[in-house]
Amino acid sequence: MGRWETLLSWEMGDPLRLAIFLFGVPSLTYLLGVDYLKPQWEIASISLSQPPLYSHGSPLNSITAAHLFEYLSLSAGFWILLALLISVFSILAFRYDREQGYAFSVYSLPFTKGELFAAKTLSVLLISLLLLYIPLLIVGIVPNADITGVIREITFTDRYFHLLIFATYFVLFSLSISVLFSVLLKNMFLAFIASFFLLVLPFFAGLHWPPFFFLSMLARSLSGASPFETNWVLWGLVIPAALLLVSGLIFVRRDVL
Amino acid sequence: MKGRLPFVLALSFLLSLLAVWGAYITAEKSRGFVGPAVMASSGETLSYVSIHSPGWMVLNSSFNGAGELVVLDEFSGERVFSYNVSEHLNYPLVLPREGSYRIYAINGSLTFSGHYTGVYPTPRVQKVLYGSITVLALLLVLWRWRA
Repeated sequence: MGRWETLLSWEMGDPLRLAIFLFGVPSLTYLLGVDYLKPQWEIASISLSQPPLYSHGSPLNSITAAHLFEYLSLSAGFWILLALLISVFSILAFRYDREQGYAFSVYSLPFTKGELFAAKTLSVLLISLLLLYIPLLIVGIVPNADITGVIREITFTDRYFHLLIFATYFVLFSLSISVLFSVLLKNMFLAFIASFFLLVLPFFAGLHWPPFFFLSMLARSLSGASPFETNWVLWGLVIPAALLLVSGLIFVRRDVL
Repeated sequence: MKGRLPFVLALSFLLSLLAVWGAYITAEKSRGFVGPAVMASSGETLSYVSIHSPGWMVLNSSFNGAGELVVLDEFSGERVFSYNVSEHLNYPLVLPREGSYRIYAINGSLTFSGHYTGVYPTPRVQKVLYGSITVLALLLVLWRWRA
C-alpha cells in the first residue's frame, strides 16, 4: 500500500466520522423515503384523435417520471440535513485533530501539508457524495420493485443524469464553503455555526441563493434544463474549486494550531 | 483500520433499508386528497386525471355525472376498474401497485374527488425489502464472526 493510500484510508477510517456517517445515511434515507411515498396527481388532457388508452409513449412523459424528478426538490429536510452533515464532516476533518491535541503528531508525519489537505478534502468529498447517492439509490430501487423496468428507462437517461449533476453541484458548493470556514476560523463551534448558517439561512429566508437554488433545477432537468450552462458551471464547479484552492493556501501557509 | 470502511458501508446500507421500512410505517398513517377534478371530453380533447401511486393504496373516491368511468394502469396498459356511472358512484378504488394511473370518462363527463388514508408496500416490495434486510444482516454477522 502506497503512502498516499495509507493517508487516505487513515482519514476515511476515522471512527468518529464513520459513527456520524452511520447515523446520517439512514436518517437521510428516511427523510427522502417519507417524501417519496406521497402520491402525486395532475389534470391533463389529450387530443381525441389518438386512442385514449395505453399511450405507448416514453415513461418519461408519465407522472411517475414527474414525481421521480420532483420529490427531491420538495424534500427540504433531506437537503438541510445533508448541508449540516457536510459541514460537520469537513469541520471534524480539519479541526478535530487540532482541538484534541494530536494534530502535532499528525503534522510531524513525513507528509507535506498540501498532501494532508488533499487527503482530508478528498475523504470529506467521498463521504459527502456517499451521503447523497446511497439514499437516492435505495429510495429509487426498493419502493419501485414492481416497476424496475420503467424506473430503469426513466433513470438511465440524460435528464436524470443532469439531475444527478445538479445534486452534485449542491454537495460541492456546500463542501467548499464549510472547508473554507473550517480552515479560516480557529474554533470548531464557530466554524460550524458560520458555515451552516451561511448555507441554510438564505433558504429559510426564501432567497434564491446557492447552494439551495440548485434544488429548483432538479425538477426542471426533466424538461431539459442543462447543468452545463455558464451560470450553473460557475456556481457548481468554478467557485467551489476556487474556494477549495483558497482554503488550501490558507491551510498550507498557516501554522498548525 | 483497513476493513473498517467497507464494513461501515455495508452496515449503512442495512440501516438505510431499515429506514425505508420506517418510512413505510410513517406512510401508512399519511392521508390526503386527490381532486376535485372534472373529467370530460369536449370537442377534440379528453381531459383526464393522472395519479402517481407510490405503492398499494385505496382511493375512497366519489364520482358524479354520467359516462363510462375507466381507471387505467399506464405501464401495463390494463384496466384496473371500469364502470358505467349514471348519476353517482362512491367506490373504494384500489391502486394495486406503484406506477402511473389514468382516470377518465368515455362518452360523458364526471366530477371526481377522492381521499386516501395510507400508502402500503406491495408484496413484491415487501419481499425485496425484508429479504435484502435479512440477507445483509446474515452477511454482516458472518463477516464479524470471522474477524
